Amino acid sequence: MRPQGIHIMHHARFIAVLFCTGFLCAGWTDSWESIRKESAKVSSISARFTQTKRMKILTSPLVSHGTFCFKAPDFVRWAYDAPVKSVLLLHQGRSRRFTRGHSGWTEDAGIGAAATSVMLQEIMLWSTGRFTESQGFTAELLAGTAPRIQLRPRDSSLGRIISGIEIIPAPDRPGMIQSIIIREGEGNTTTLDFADVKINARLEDGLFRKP
Amino acid sequence: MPAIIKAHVPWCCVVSALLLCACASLQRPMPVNPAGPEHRERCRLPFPVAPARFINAIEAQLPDGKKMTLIGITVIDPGGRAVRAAIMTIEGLLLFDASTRNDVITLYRALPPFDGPEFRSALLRDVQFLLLPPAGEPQQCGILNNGSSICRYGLADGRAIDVIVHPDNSWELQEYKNGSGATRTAQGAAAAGGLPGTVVLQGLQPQPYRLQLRPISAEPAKAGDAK
Repeated sequence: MRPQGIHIMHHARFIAVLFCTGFLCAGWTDSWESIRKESAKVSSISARFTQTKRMKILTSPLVSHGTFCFKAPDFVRWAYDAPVKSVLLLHQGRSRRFTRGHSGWTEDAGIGAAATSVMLQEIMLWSTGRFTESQGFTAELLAGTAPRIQLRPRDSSLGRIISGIEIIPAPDRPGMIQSIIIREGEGNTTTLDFADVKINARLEDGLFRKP
Repeated sequence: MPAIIKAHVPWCCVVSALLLCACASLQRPMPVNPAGPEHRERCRLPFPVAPARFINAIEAQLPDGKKMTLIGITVIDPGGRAVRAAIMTIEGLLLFDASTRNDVITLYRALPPFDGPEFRSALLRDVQFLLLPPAGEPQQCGILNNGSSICRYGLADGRAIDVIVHPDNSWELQEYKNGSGATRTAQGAAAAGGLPGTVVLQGLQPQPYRLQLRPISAEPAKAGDAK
């Protein structure tokens, strides 16, 4: 069992991985094998996302917006435009987060280098469609008319943070994810909806550098 | 300038700076000008009068100098002197959720590094400091030379809190403990456009930290929402 603190430190990267994972699963709805096959065809992804946070303390959800970019083999940029401008960068197992505050862009202390290596393993597995080899989550592929992937934490320490994840593909666009729902228990959920998805478009290296 | 004076100028500057710092942490003398009831009323301005929900972007500077940005959600019930506070990451992970009423804390969720009992007490104290007026009536009220209203509250636990409201409706809170100097201060900009102004909270003792709260939203709430 990994320490609970490690899981927390990984959270920011974790959601970025979910984005990455979803788009990389082109054509995955039939079987795990087709997921792995389609994943190999993706060299880059860009998309806009809307994050909707529902909690008991809120009467109406807190909505955030941003953009997600992935470039093979291991560049990820996950940026929020509102309500707080921030950029999360992942590359070669190192993650950095920058937020824009009253004194401009500053690097956030919340992401520790020590935690990166564990999550990177998840990234590598998921980005190649190998859900079932994840050490953090078990994966179940639910095929049918409304196919989805359900992820469940393998150990209780992670389960106290995230009780489950559901990945829902776009029904009319093979290879694209419509939504990701992250459940934290007690009715608290984070839903990520994607739009303006571009696959294998040219992405400049500068996108993946600090703002 | 004579050499001996020149040689001492840097030291004079250092000593002056130290004296200024020392003065800044001491409780200010109350003005002698009498304050009417309107000034006493102005001292309520920093605090919500009805149940409300606030969402803030929080820029935190920790005692070790590191910075992080989080999102804070607070529901306040001034009548019941109740507060519920939650902290989450920008990515939406709920790190902390707790409420307090009559000094009884109910913890709903706390993940590392926000899971220690000291943290939860300190966080809820900070929220109460910012959003609930000090209990009881002010012991003294006055008018500062710049026209600001000041009210001094003495609390049962030995703390004293000064509430200062400036003519432009910006405000300050200063907390002192048993004559040991300031323990916490806050400066708030005047409300504008239906939102509270940006607030800077500084913890000075036992360890220094700084929180800048930038409002994202503010809305009325029900008293029961603070449970």
